[in-house]
Amino acid sequence: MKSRLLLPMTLLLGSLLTGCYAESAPPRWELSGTSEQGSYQLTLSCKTPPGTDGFQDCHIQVQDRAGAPANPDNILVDGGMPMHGHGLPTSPVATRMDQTGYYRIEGLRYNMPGAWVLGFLIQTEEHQEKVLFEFVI
Amino acid sequence: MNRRKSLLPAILLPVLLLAGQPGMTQEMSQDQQPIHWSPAEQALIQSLSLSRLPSGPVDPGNHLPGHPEAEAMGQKLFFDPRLSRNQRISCASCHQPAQAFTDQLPVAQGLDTGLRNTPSLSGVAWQHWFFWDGRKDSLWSQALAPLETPEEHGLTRTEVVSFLLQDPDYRPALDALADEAHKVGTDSPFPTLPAAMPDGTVEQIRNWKALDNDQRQQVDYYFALVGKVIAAFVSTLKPAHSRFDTYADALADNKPTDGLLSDTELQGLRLFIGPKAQCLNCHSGPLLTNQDFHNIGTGLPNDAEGRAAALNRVRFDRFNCLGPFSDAGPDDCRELQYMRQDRSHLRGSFKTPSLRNVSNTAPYFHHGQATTLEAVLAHYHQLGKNPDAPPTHAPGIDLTTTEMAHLVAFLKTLAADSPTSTAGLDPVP
Repeated sequence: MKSRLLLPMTLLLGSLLTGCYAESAPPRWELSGTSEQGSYQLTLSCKTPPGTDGFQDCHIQVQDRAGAPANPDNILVDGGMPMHGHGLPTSPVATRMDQTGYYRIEGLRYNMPGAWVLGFLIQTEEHQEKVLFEFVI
Repeated sequence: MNRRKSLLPAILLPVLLLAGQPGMTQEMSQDQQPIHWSPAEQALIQSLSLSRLPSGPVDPGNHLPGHPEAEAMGQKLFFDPRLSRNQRISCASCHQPAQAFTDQLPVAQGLDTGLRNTPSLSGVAWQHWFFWDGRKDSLWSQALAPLETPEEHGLTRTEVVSFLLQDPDYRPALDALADEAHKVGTDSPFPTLPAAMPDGTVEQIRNWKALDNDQRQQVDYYFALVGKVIAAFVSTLKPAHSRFDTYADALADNKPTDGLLSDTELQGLRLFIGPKAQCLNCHSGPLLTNQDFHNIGTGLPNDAEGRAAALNRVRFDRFNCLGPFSDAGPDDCRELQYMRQDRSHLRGSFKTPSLRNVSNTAPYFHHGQATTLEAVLAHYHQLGKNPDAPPTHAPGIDLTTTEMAHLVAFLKTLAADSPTSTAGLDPVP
């Protein structure tokens, strides 16, 4: 069942790059976006803006349609530079934090300036939705 | 776990598919247009400047860089041919200071002919992965491997440690750098151990297993210390400023740039940072490498796996960042912890080399297949034009002969008068 979702997801994602943009409020850096079917609101919060000089410490807050903390089974992280045709240099992971709806993002790093896409695939047993963010380093 | 593996492409694939958008490689030749940099182009140029390189390399697994005694001893070890089976091969045999720390050979030549091209050491301490396939995650761990490689120095672990701890000069110097729990002191002679290492011939492995656990621990500890000392010296080999850096820094400071680079070199720079040549996809940052692994179609029948074959080697390496001999804490090893492990994607991938001093480090590619920069560009030019060739990560790049000449002219501006800013690189007596 899951594998049947892959092709349509792949085809659709290209037209769904509608994430929000960075707010320049250092040292905290936040992006917010809604999953493509509207089931989740995701806020990405990082200690620093993205750069090319090391790992970015971030966490995400996941809320359901009503704004309540969501507790999906799993969240996958990936991304890359569409204009340059490559992915992230690392394989970051999202791990559940103590507070419901919060996930720590570990292993997130970028290796060149330019336009990046960062994607989160939110999974439950029944379905999955994604949130994509675009930003420029 | 299977679920995770199967779903990751759902995010990544569309990102990669967007790479081939029409127009990315369709620009008209801009050879004759005057150079005017947009703010975005200026930012890209400045991101390549050596001035953007952090002041000192940081290896959480090695506390010795910056330690004067360690650096001096590392320099001595680097040039010492006694650290080889025939007493004639040192680190400097392949990493020759006068040749930009390369050997100018297609593949390394130690005791025997090696498998891959010798990379330069200039700026290597600022990198994350080592060897063409990244099978080492630190400079200190990398420095150990050639000592035990039959085609290079050809020694065993016990021979290296026995020699150094029996040497009247090396022993007190090493002992002074050892932690209290491992000091051997200077009172009793260190025994001559049988030729042994955990990954060698049957006899060497048998001898290694015959050592008791304390002996193996002590040998491994001092072997690791030797790597850290050599790495302390190599960490001093920071690249020197090139003509390109002078130009990029002047541009950043709004100072006059007239005459710093020729028109041809500037046209090459524009191609380098632009979408037509796509050099920046991989050659980014002050070292002009994204420190990632890519398949650019250079795999050979006897050496085709590249990074894919190195993943488990680095994960289970006793001398990796998370290993018992690393000085790093568990939270300091994120490059290793979060490294990409999708084997099928990484098959045939090799590390993006730095382009610092690139015109002085021929031949090129991991097997030295390309003898000139022109041959390198010709390789990229023909990629994607052969429908029968295996797929690669590199897009086809269409450049005119003139554009290739401009790119080569720019690449030559990355050479400095000296390969490093380090003075006094003579062998230490």
